[in-house]
Amino acid sequence: MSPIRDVARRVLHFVARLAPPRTRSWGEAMIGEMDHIDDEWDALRWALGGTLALCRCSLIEHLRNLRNLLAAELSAQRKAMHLIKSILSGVGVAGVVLIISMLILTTLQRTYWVEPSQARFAQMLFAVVVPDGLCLLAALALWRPQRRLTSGILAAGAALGAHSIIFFVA
Amino acid sequence: MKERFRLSPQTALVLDAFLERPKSWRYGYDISRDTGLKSGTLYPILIRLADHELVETRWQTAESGKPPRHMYRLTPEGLRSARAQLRDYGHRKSSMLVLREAKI
Repeated sequence: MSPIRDVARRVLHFVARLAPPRTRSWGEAMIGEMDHIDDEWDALRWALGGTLALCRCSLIEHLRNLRNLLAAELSAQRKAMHLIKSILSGVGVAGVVLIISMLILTTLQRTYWVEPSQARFAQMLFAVVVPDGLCLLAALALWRPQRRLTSGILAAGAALGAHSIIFFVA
Repeated sequence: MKERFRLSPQTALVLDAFLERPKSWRYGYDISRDTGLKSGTLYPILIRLADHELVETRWQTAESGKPPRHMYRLTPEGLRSARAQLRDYGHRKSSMLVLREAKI
């Protein structure tokens, strides 16, 4: 093998080795073909052209892989954001129910609809039973169509329930 | 099937070379000599054609001491597509020539 052909072969081989797997097989095809070219300078021109083609194809493939990776990353982020938003919406719904319930309780107490002797029962009813019951009903109704939202509602309901148990028992 | 690709004059040359002997397997250097295209132009075209499943490839074991050669042939889909694309390309080219002549 002449020095010219040897150098050309080495260059092409080096670039092919660095190329992504799909392009690498094409590099091997160019190397294989080069060894069947009789003229030394033709072989060199073939190798140089092949090197340029491999560099271009490798660059395109790397960029394509990067684009796919970014798209997958973006899609995963979007899914995570959607999950968080749905759960937070559920917590928000439970919070609104609790606020309305507490406003009703406060109104009833201020307007003396609730006797002082019934205060604890009213608190238990409007701070625990009504909001938790509504959360449970909402969860049952929304479980199939809005599973993530329901998870948020249930989580908030459970936290409220746990808080109430600690408050009333302690 | 993948979307129809843009037919450049060089791609048209390669397809035309394949259509000369549609059934036979061709070597890269052989196509290069027929079309006058350098390897740097030819191989990206072959890669694109193979990606679009218009060209099939296989390795041919060569005589001892030489590496195997990569061979190329139009797939049946490639054959249909090449004929249709070259026909369209011919129409486009002739209408462009008419326009060019009209401008002159």
